[in-house]
Amino acid sequence: MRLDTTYTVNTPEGIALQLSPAGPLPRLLAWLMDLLLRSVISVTLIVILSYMGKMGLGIAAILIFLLEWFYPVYFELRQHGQTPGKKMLDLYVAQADASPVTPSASIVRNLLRVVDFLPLLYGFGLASMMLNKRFQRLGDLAANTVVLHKNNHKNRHTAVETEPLRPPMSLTLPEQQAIMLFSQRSNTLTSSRQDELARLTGPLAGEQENPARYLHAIANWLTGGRAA
Amino acid sequence: MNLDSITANIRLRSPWEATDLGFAMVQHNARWIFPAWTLLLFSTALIVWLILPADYQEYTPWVVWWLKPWYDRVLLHILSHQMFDQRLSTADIFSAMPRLFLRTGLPGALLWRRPSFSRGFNLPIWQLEQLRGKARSERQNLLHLQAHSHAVWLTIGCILLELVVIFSLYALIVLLDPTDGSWDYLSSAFTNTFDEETRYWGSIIYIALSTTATWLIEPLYIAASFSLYLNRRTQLEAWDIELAFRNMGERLRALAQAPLAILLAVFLLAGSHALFPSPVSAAESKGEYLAEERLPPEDSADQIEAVMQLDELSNMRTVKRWERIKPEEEEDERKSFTIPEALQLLFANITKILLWVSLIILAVMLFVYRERLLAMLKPLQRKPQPQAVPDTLFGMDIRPESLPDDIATASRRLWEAGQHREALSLLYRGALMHLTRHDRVPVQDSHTEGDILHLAREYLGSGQRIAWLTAVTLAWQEVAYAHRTPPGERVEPLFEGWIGFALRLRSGTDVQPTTSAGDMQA
Repeated sequence: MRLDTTYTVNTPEGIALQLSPAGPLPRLLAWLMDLLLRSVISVTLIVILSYMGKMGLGIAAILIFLLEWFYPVYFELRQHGQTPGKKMLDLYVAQADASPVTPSASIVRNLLRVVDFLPLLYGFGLASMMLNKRFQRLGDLAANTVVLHKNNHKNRHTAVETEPLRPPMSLTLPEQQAIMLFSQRSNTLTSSRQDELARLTGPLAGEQENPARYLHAIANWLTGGRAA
Repeated sequence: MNLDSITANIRLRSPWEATDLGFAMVQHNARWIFPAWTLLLFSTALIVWLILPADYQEYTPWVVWWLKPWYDRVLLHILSHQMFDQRLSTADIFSAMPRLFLRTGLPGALLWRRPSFSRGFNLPIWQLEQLRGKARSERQNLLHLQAHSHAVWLTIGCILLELVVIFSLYALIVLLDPTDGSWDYLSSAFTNTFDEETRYWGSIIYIALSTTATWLIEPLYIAASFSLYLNRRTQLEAWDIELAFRNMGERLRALAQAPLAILLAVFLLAGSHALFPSPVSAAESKGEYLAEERLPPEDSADQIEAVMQLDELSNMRTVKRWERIKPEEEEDERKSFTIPEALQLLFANITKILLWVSLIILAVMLFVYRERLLAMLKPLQRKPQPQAVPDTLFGMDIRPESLPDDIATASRRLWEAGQHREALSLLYRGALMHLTRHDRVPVQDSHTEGDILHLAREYLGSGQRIAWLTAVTLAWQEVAYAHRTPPGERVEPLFEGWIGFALRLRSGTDVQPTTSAGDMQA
């Protein structure tokens, strides 16, 4: 087994989901973003409500208390597990089986922030994450949640315009995926590198005059293109 | 470089996933990294501490920190070999150090490149690619195109992680220190009012903690940087595709070279064709699964959109709510920021009253539900809930009301009337009734006669009663299952013993001498 950070969850339909838990570093940065946002809101609240004298400050204190404790809960439940900071880093909170985070789990993991914060600045949380294959802090372990990377696939479409071509031999699923990836990412590769890669496929495209173009044609066929 | 021996899964990751892979590398390979790393870092710290003049010893952490590029090279040496499945011994690592010292651009890294925020990411270009001069800067610019900001944030993040470790360890010391010493030290650190001795020990503790933080975080930083670098190169050079294509080429070549294998493969493919149409063959078998008159993709997209507009599928909802007719009035009132004191008092009083009311309600509820709450406070009763006493066993009714008052006489009468089976059954039922009702033997429906005997042994102990029960059980089993009537001389003592078995229960003592059974009967 080659080292990777992902783990697999099988859905009842028999689909294997690859989940990628997020480590301490992106989570630290997301937390910093949220901290910044919360601080800005808190300061604004104090400034505005201080016009109302002591009562205003009292209300501000109550609001800031609610903000500190329920800001993550609100966003996790209403924004698909993403606080603004997590959204910036493409992270989201989910149950360990990738189902949406439940209200009780969200409350548990956020109330237990205090424990992770101990002894100071998330020391226990960091230790827990590093001793754990899924980078879960203690609150996550208690609520059975994980913070996952959200992979947004941007360039999904074949960039190269070619006539589709049926592969001359049967290809396994990973091989078909590799050919499609090759075609999708060809705009980041030089043409000589593309040809070099394509020749590695040996009998498939090795003897072709223009191996890269040949593979693009196959990729086009694999992604559903058909000759007109 | 042989991509085949790489130990990490090569795929195109997002940059943050790549840093996570670096963390996982350290997690996974800690025992190959840390021995040499510990030796290197702590011996360096010790040497620095020893050679600095006494007045400057408190600057040791700064020197140790400044020397980070030097450890980075050693760490990268370990990690890059680890990545290609070469485990280096501590001796290997230390013997490679002179080469690392001379050939990795160390002077620049320790001087003008020290403040760089992407030093971890740039290091592989110096050390692994061995590029210098213009070639290096061009290479670095190329790699930085899409990875520089992540490299910088990675450095900042790791500095923060070091701070987390230092602060946590300080807080842990303060929390666990039973004296006030550490707290006094920390508070006097802000006023700079401690004596020479405290200052000395304080600086020693600081050296230890900051070195520990470096010790924990620096391998993570270098591994994450290395992983980020590998991910950038994977992106640029499509390593993942290269690996997949190489495997594909080998597989296809092997197929081409082995005619037998081809035959087999053709055979298998032909076989699998019928069972699971492969993508290739799916195209050939046109019309079998897909309609001939398929729409082109654009048309079907339009059609799908049209279908999704249907009421059943579109997520349109009508929400009704109250709206203020004149919203301006409210705003005018709000414009005056100075709320009259009476209103503030009103707000405060209402809040106060609400609090008191909820407190009273809480108290009332506490009183109303006191029993349930107290029950919750009680320690969990370990005693399992008394199991329902079965009414029938082996299809026999063993409720007391179904049995005659004098079981011994009734069954003796049955026996004498020749109804042997009924007589023994009555006796056994009586025994079971006593066991379940009076001895509280936890008999369940699923138990067999043997099980009951076994259970009863724990409750009755050894003595006359268990002997009698054993005899009855045996007699009953014989007549019930073997259809053999036991001889009369074996059964007679059972009728006589019944009273002993039953009476002993009522007197509540299980361990009377055996002779008393006869006495009581007499």
